[in-house]
Amino acid sequence: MRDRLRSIIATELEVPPDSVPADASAETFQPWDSLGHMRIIIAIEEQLDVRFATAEIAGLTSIDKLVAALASRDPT
Amino acid sequence: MTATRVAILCSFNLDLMTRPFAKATVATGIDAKLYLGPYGQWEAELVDPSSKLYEHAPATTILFLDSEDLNPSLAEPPTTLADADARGVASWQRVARALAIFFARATGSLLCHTMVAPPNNGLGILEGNAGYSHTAEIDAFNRELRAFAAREPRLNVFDYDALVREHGWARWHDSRLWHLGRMRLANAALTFLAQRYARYLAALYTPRRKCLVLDLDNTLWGGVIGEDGLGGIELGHSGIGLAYREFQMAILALHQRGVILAIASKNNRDDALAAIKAHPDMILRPEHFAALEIHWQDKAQSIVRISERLNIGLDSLVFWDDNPVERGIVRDQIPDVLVPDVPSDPSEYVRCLVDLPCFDTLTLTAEDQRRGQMYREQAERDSFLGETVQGVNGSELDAYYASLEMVVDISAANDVSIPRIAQLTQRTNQFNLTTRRYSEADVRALSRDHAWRVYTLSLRDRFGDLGLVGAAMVHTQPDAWELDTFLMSCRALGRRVEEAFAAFLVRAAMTDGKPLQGVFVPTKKTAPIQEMLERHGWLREEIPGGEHQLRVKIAPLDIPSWLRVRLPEES
Repeated sequence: MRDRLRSIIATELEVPPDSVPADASAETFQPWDSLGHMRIIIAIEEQLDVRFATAEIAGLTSIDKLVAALASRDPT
Repeated sequence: MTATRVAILCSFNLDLMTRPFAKATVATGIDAKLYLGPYGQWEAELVDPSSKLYEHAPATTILFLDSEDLNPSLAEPPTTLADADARGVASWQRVARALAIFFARATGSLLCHTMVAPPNNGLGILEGNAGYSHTAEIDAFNRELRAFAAREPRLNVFDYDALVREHGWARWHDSRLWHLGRMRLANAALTFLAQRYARYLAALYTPRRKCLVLDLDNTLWGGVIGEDGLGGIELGHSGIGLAYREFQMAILALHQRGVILAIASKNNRDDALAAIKAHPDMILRPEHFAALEIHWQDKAQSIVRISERLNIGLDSLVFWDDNPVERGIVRDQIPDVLVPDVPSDPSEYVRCLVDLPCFDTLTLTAEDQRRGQMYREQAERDSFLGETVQGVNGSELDAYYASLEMVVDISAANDVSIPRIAQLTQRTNQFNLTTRRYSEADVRALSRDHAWRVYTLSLRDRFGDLGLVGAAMVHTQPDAWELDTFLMSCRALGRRVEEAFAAFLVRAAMTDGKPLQGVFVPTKKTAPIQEMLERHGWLREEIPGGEHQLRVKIAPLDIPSWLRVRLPEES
């Protein structure tokens, strides 16, 4: 899942996949700005068939948090 | 790829539009350099002469105002219908004041969204029943916008309302993005909107296709006329017959917009013609078709003959046939012809036809609306020529020309003719010196430029009015008149009217003490103009650089004696 997220993040931020740290976050990874964040969320929703709540979206600003949020929705 | 510059001004955050816009425009063959204004600042961008908008110098500016941004009063219901109307008019007037500055300051055109009344406003089902209405307010705004567009040729209306209705309001919006980032549109909506923008831009820059070639059996009616007979084919007011009838209505609407119709069908000609003439539920009748190829020969050859008969290029044709095998053969043998993937269910024909962007145009000229009639007049001329000229010698041909009683009108470009001039530059391929394509805004700018002269040629004869059929654009330079554009519509060729045009231009240049010269840019279609340039000995040396462009110098010549020519008053 982490690699899948890195790949989506790289595409949405238009950076090379290798440049996205495995623990990337909006605080530490400079290309992850607020517009980029919306792009990442929209792309994850589309590609992983999930839907985040409004209050949740603003907080999902790292791969760790995204992994946790996705794990909590996926019973398998 | 057509290169152009586009700006989008939006009343909310549309930053997510950049990528879908780039993708959609490239897919349409447009290389658009986009400037996206800071959200909410549309008015400042239009009003401030030093704004980034004017710095970007867009050929097309898109103005996207959301009804809820422009009318915060939606939170506060109007008190009466008249009040709602007045509020809509006031909103429009605010926009119109900014647009007046834009049209004075900029040279490009503007594409203005219609507004959509939000269905979930505070009134609920009281909306429209309370004696006042939000929708009425939006309607008034859109009405004023359309009225303004009818007067201002540089304003085109972007029918956003229709686009949102097509996809549905609920699917179109994502309130989460609005609350978090002042972005109103859902991701899918951004893609659809970008594609529609691209379609409008393509209509400005891409020549539209001129002729729809139709099959008959299982295309204009259900069944096979040769087997089922006049009473057996499906065409009427119910079931699948209704689908075919509605398809014919959609085709007729295209025809009324200036698309020429032709038939390529494998059938017994008499059976097919009997159905077209006599079936009570046919919408399309013989007079709607400019060419009929109904026989058992190959359809690709039929299509080539239609193109020759109508004197239009194969890349101006669209071929519609329910049979995938016929479509495949035509695609394979004449790749220039556009062959849409026709749906297998005739109920979907209309939707597929109206979704084809190849017939798109943002302006309808008088010539478009009369085109069908003009092709019928041409058929009368052809048969007249057939009777009059059998084994002619030169003087008999002159007598024929004289018998056509042609009147040529040469004028300086004006507001009425500018859209048609732009259209001719986009559509004319054969008798065209440089094949340079211009938008309406381009032509308007050049016609106002003192260093340029823009002329038109109109033609009529005893059979009817052929309308505006020629255009010339001259860049006057210190030592010469440079012929930037010189073209004639193919339907006016073969009667030496182009000689009158050249004679006028060279005389006007001489009056100014300058020679008339230019560059011939040959393409695979420009044989007709090349023939004229060669016959008069106007072609000069090739221009170095390997593109086979030739210098042209136009020598004085006489206006053919049988033409009555009216010249512009000013020169």
